[in-house]
Amino acid sequence: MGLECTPVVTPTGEAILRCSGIYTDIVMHSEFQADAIVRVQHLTKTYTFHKQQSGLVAAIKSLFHRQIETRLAVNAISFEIRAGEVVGFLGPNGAGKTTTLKMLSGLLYPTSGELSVLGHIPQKREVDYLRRISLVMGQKTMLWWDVTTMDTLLLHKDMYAIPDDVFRESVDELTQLLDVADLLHVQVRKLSLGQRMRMELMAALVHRPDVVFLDEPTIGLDVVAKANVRAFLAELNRTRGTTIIITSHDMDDIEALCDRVLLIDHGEIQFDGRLPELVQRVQPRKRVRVAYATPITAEARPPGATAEDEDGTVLVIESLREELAPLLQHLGTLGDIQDLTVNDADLDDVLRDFFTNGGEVRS
Amino acid sequence: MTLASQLRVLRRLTSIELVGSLMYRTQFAVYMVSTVVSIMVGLFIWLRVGESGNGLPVDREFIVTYYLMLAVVRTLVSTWHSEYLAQVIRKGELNAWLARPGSYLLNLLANNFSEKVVKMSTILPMLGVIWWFYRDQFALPTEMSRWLLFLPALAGAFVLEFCLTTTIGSLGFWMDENSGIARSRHVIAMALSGELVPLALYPAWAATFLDWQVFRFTMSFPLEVLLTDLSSQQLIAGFVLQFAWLGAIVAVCRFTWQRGLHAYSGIGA
Repeated sequence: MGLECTPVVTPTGEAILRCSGIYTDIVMHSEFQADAIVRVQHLTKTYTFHKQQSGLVAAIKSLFHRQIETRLAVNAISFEIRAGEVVGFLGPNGAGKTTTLKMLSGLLYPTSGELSVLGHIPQKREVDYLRRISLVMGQKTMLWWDVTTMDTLLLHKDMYAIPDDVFRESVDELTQLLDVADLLHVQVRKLSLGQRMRMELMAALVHRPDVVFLDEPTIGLDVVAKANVRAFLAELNRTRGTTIIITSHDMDDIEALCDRVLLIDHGEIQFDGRLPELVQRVQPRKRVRVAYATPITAEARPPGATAEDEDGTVLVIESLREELAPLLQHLGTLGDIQDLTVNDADLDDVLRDFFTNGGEVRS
Repeated sequence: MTLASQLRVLRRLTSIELVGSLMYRTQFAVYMVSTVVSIMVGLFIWLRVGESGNGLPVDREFIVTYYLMLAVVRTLVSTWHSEYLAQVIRKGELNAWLARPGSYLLNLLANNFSEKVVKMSTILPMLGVIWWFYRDQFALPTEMSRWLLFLPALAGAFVLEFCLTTTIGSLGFWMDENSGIARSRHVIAMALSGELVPLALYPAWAATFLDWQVFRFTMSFPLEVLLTDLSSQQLIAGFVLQFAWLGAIVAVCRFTWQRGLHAYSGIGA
């Protein structure tokens, strides 16, 4: 008979492993992150809803008997996040990443499990907690349409009890970083989407939160606006040490910002680590593209090479990292090379591979 | 949050909401015309009934003053956010509020206050015109005590209304559609609050029920305090009942909101 162990966070914030065995209960102190500000243990969320069948008969039946269903959105996930980290939640639609973010920010009550952010239980929504966090939702606004952003900032000054001097300093700093001096006194409804998102960030950060939750912050923005938002967030993390937790479908956001990614699928964490590590595990091959001055015959091409053009002057080969050096050496012997690129797989491709393979990470 | 900081937030929210309300002042003016028309229909009907010698228990002066003041009380007391609140909940628009240290209920209050400012500014000139035609029969009390008692009764009526409306709106946490309940409540309230017919004109056998039911305290009671000669005993009983209803409805509202937040799914963000 083996030990059955459960990780537990004690009321003092200590992470322990409690195990029950045939002889006695023992407690093993595991390696835990002393500076973790987010601690999640077996966090679970289920949604309950009435199942609606189509058709009149089903509608009449439902008057007498409603079919209630539950859906498991997040399934006993555990992780920790240290102060100053930038963590990306990745996953397909309905994977559970936004639900996790909403539980962390206190919007939703977990069904079970333990959760602590900055030493607070988020769903209690204590004022001291809410004053230390911020939530930015790309698809929802916290600005009032009929007034200027400055009106919202002044409201936040009262809401977050920001002292006058700190407020002035923060507004000046954010105005400069976001380059919005000429937009502060413009009615929000007259701002473009990109401008509005910058103002959303300003409103969300004027109280200098320790943790920022971002849900699809660049959705709908053009390339330039996206780049501006990413640069700003990176700067915010660098200068203020703000912990950033982000969900995004835009892999460029994740690549540009995140030290660490949590891949969530079917409500479970499938991967927790650094992005290059994920790429290497899911797509261990590098993509080599080589252009020659003259065509390379099919017989002379290395195994697995495909011609990108009709006559075979541009070849594409995927190679394991450890086989790359001899491959490049061999390619040099085939002809006069005009151009050569070696890339990791595109992150979108990596994730597509990951999720279509049922979430399996190659070792 | 301390009461002082909540009041600061409420003041700021009200000024923001007021800017928005002023942008829709034409819509409010049209709405207030319909309010005045519906109240005037009641006034004309009961004046005509009085003239036909049916022996009403109140005189012509009471009817004129009651209906003109009813328009003011109704504007100051009525709340209308139950369907709007349910929609905010269903669409997940509550998310932005739940992550901030300020209750969404403060925003609803601010919205109510700002709209009342705009509505009062549009309804008073209309009532002024009607008053001019009936100025000989319009008689407000001159005793300060009545006005001093009228104000807490009015404030209590508003809090009752606000909590009733919020409770029905909070059903949006569980129900896809609450408009049926909201409209039923509106119709029942019209009949039992004294909005459609002054409670004094109901048959005597209904008096005990009418005196005790909650809707009396959302509209009729402040008018009774101001316009009728209630004895001290009747005043005390009225305020005790209003306070009891307030305690009960505030508790139900608070319970529904808190339970609703547990059930909230934050869909739409």
